[in-house]
Amino acid sequence: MTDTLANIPRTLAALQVGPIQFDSPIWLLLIPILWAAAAWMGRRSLAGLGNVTRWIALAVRFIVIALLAGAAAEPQWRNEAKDVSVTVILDSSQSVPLQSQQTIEQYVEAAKAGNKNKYDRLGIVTVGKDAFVQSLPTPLVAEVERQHVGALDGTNLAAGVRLGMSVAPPDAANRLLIASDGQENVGSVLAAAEAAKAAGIPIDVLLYKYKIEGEVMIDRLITPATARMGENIPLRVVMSATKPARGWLNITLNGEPVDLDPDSEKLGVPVELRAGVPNVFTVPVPARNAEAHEFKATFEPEVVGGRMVGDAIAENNSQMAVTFVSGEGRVLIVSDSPTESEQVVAALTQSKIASRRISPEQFPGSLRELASFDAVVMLNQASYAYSQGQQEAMRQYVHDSGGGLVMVGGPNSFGAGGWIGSPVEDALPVKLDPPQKRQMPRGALALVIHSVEIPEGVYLGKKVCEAAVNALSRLDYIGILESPGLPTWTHPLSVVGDGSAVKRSIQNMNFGDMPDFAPSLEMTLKGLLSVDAGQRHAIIISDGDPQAPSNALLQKFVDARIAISTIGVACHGASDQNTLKSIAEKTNGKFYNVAHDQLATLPQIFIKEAQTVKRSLIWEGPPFSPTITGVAETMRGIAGVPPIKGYVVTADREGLALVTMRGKENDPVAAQWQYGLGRTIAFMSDATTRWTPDWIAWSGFRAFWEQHIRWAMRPSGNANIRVVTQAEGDETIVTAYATDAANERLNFANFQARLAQPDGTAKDVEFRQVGPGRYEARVRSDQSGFYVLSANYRAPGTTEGQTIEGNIQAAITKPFADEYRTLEDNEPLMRQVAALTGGRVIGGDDPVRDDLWSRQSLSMPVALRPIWLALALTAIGLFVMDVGVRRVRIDPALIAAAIRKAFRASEKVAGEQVDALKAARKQAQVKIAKRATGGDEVKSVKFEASKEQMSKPSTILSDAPAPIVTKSEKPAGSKDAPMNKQDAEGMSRLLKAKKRAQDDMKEE
Amino acid sequence: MRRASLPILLLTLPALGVLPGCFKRSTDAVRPLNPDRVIGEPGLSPGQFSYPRCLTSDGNALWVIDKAARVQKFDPTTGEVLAHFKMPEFENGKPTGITIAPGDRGEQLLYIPDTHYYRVMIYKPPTTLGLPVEPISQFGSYGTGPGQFLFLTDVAVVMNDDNSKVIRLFVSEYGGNDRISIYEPTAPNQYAFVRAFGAFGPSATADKIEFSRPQSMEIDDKRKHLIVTDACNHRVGVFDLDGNLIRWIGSPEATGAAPNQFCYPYGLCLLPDGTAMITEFGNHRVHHINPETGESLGIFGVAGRDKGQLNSPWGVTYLDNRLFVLDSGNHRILGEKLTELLSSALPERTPTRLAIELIPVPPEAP
Repeated sequence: MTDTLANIPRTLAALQVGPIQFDSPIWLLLIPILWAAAAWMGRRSLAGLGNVTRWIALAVRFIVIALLAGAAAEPQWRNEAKDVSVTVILDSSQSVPLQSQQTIEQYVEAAKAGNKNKYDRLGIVTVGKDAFVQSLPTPLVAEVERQHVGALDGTNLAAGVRLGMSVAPPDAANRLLIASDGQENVGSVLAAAEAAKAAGIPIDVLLYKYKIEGEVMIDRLITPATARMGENIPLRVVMSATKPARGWLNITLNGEPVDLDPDSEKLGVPVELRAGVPNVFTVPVPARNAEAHEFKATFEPEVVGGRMVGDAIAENNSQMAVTFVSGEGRVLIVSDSPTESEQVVAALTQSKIASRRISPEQFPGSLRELASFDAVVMLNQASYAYSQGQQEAMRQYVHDSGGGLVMVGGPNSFGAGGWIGSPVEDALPVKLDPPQKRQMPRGALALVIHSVEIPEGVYLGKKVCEAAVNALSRLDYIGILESPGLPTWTHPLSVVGDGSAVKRSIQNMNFGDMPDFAPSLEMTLKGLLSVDAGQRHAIIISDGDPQAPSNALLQKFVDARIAISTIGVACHGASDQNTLKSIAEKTNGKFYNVAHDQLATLPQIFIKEAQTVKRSLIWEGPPFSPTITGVAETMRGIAGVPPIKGYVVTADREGLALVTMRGKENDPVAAQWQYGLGRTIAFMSDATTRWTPDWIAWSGFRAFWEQHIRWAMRPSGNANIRVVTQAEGDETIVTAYATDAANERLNFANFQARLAQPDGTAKDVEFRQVGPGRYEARVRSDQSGFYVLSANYRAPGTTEGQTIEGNIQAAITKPFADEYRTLEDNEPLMRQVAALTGGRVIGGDDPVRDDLWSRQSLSMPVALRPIWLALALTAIGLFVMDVGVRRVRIDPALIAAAIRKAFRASEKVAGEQVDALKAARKQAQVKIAKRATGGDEVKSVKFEASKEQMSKPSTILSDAPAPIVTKSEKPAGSKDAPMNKQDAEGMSRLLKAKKRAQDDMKEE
Repeated sequence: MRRASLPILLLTLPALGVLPGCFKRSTDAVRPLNPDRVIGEPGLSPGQFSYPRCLTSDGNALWVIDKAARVQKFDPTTGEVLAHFKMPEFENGKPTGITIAPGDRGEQLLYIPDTHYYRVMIYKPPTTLGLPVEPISQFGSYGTGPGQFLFLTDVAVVMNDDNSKVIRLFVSEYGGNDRISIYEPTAPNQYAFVRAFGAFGPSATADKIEFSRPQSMEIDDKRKHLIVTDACNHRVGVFDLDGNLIRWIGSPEATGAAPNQFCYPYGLCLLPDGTAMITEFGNHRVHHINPETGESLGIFGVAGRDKGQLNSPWGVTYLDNRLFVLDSGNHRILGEKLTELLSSALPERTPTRLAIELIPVPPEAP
């Protein structure tokens, strides 16, 4: 009995009986109590029934009570899962050799093939710096296939565990299997394991075991953060080796090799490394120009017989560092041609400001390169010429490194140049969307989207649509058309507004297959013609295999002056390209063929094409002189300016932006503001004869540009500040040693500093004075790549009222990921994860014996379904039955006789039934005839038994009281009819019951 | 779960009986499919699909090719994968058609129009799982000249009367060179171009045969007809085996979702009674027609992603008294008993004559 009780599973405050679980089992206590009450009450109330009937009635009452109490106890039907789901979290990071990963994949596939329950499920999640689901857990997954796995220079096991938990099917017991070397460097797998433990999901671990015996790595390359022109920059290279090793040390400066040993044929110097101790080598390199000096030190191991000796991982054989060499301030001028910039360059030369002109293709790709300039002047530049990374670097250059940005207009600039919604717009002192009140022609752009058959097609498709939308102004029309079977507007042509509606539509895109271009283009044409727009344009993105449209349809586009630009992505071949090329050529659009390795250019193409409808943002007309509206340092001594013939329409920006010149309808023509650490200027007209022909001969031309550009330039400063950086784990200590012009230590300086990080974000940095003239800041530097620290400083001078101020910069580098520092697996961490969650450490040798889908220590999930209503309704049904049992006598003999009779009747042949029917009809006809002729006595009641019926003995259906009949209806002679034995007993019981009732009434 | 629901059902049935009018019958015009077989799910493992685009049957099993360039053979009853292999090249694109028919020696062969490699590949059906398979023959090259292809869509095989020898192949293509090429055998499983008929366009006249993406073809052995779904012209063509037009069913102008219209008829299969089932990519449905009379005999399937609903169906085939529909957008195959499908007598199944362009039947060759 004790064992039986112990075997009844119980949950907290719940009782499980077989497949039923009672959540409020206390109600079940009512059962014995009510049963006893029912039995006691039934002793009297059921006394009038026969033995069998009484017991049946009592049993029915017991059941009704049990059901009602059971219903009150919140019963739930338990449906317990039978299958196990295993989601494998595959460490695909670069610290795990590819061969080991393939071995694990084969192991998992063999395990699945050998698993006996074919309904068990397998899911795959890959982990690098991020985690991605490769296969959702289903019974059919049998192979490990990888698609997009993201960046692999990090290991984020925690993300893998969380993703594995999120895809765990609720109708199966779940296990996670981490196959990894355990060398995580992003997130905390232990924290994620705690969550798995809480969810009842054990994590098994399968360890990639490895230990690298011979390895050389460059731990650090130490250079001063700043230096002066002409001085030697000392480079200190710190290397370590697990075994004695030999090789060569090479240095490059801004990508060009530095000849460290002019006497030998090799550029590098030979080095011998001792095992287990830091090997430090110092190399002096002279500072060449006033710019950022990027050094890269590389160790080249000795190679014997084609194999590296003493070194296994090549990725950790190099380190980088940057030294900013100070000198005269420099300005970077960007223009499409020298002609566009010659007037501005001449003005700067006259003002003794060093400058360098480049074309957009030469524009620096990183913040570090940009940071060596004090200001950047962009003349009539369109946004599509700059990658998203370059645009973000420009914004950071101003906001976080204190650089200056001067954007000068032209037909390809500002809103007309597609800069709306770009990171650079954030830095500008004007809004690139035209003002709401401004009446101007709108643009209308229709995007025709066909499925792009590449793994990241959906992601890219959405990105390019967003890029196009961002490039439009809020007054323009945008429409997105897809063809999931039939062409439909995913976003009907409507005004962009704040872009939220169209961006929601973009998220709902299906990227359906398109059989035929024609219906989509017909709908596009109809849509574009239906809106009131000055410029209309259509863009198709496709792999090119839908059926080509007819020439007649394309001619309709030509007639409507609507160009169709086509973008072929992953075109299947020449035929696909020809279709798209033909559409573009016939409608005066452009065709772009984007190969797999050029996908990053897609947003730029869309922005460029979207720009087609942005010509409406340009104002051109009779020359007029803009009104000078603001008093600013940039306009010092300038009372008026010559006329201009054109500018790009922009709008005022709220906040501290200062508009210094205004044009038609109060449009800003020149504006400026402080943005973060830096300053930006926007001049919406141009610097050529196109829009400002009279300015070149204007006497104030040089002063105008010199004052504007000098205002924007990063201040050079009048203090001597030397910056040293020192890495300490994931942190870097930045120390600034400051002296004034008299070489006295500079105290009480305030620093406003920002650190631009490799991932494009930036954060504030706090400097504290830790000694005389010495300031220190700690920054977290756990990402690999370049960090640029920029600080504006301000300190009191030696004389009253004097202020010492300026700007300093420093770079922190972390060229390779921690992924390449690990020389050994992290088995203890993996074991800890398994132990924490109740998982197992899998050997990985025998997939069948390891039994990845083991039920051991798994609690199978249970789906609960409330059944109280069913119990309650059943109780009600039985209650009705209870009444029936007491009121209706069931005579088994009579039932049996009725069944026999029914059987006999069914055996009658059809002919007999017809004969019987005929006979019955004849008999009825005879009776009617008799009645009509008065041959029979007329009945006084509706029914009167025939003589035959009267002569038959009556059949007793039950021992229940006889039916009540009136005296007049009582058959003659019934009073005197002798009672049989059963009747006598029934009558006797009735009399007894009547007497008992009378006694009870008397007692009451 | 079933046991739990039984008492509820028993006890609520009487209640339902006294509440007439609470439930009303669906008045949807089109009967959704009621599949008793659902094969496949999204994924890249055997038995899973990544947008399958062509389906056929060999009399015992189903064959499917998806956008992962995998050719998979399925047991139609269990959904189990019996064989699979990957096309040798697929970077340019994946096949959109598959045909199983006897070869020159009577053995069953796979004819795969390798759409984006401009060739027809002929394989002996493999029985292996995942191993590479070598074609026994192939023909075709890129171009618009005789014997060249742009985008191939389907292959139809004509056998001699005793089904022992291939006497003709039809190969359809699109991409501006929309036509059907006729090939005849020169040696076992070797074929030579004979001629082609059709060009890109919407013409409906017998003397100017034009197609816009002829997507699927079937041979009506009994009547010696070639039946073609002319997808982007939204019609079905009936030809004799010499390529002479007998009739068009539907027209480019009459496209739509009405019972007498097509919208991108993609898949095609002939039933034993000579009627045809056609999957309409644009209408997300299956259309039952009589290709001899042009009558619409029934429409099945509604658009969606739930059970029995269709999302851009590409293919359809008949096997073992079941209709299998390739529900491409939902990455699955739906199978329903044909007898049940056809016996669902809805008013909408009243035969409706399609718009038929009547073309004089050419006199039979002596």
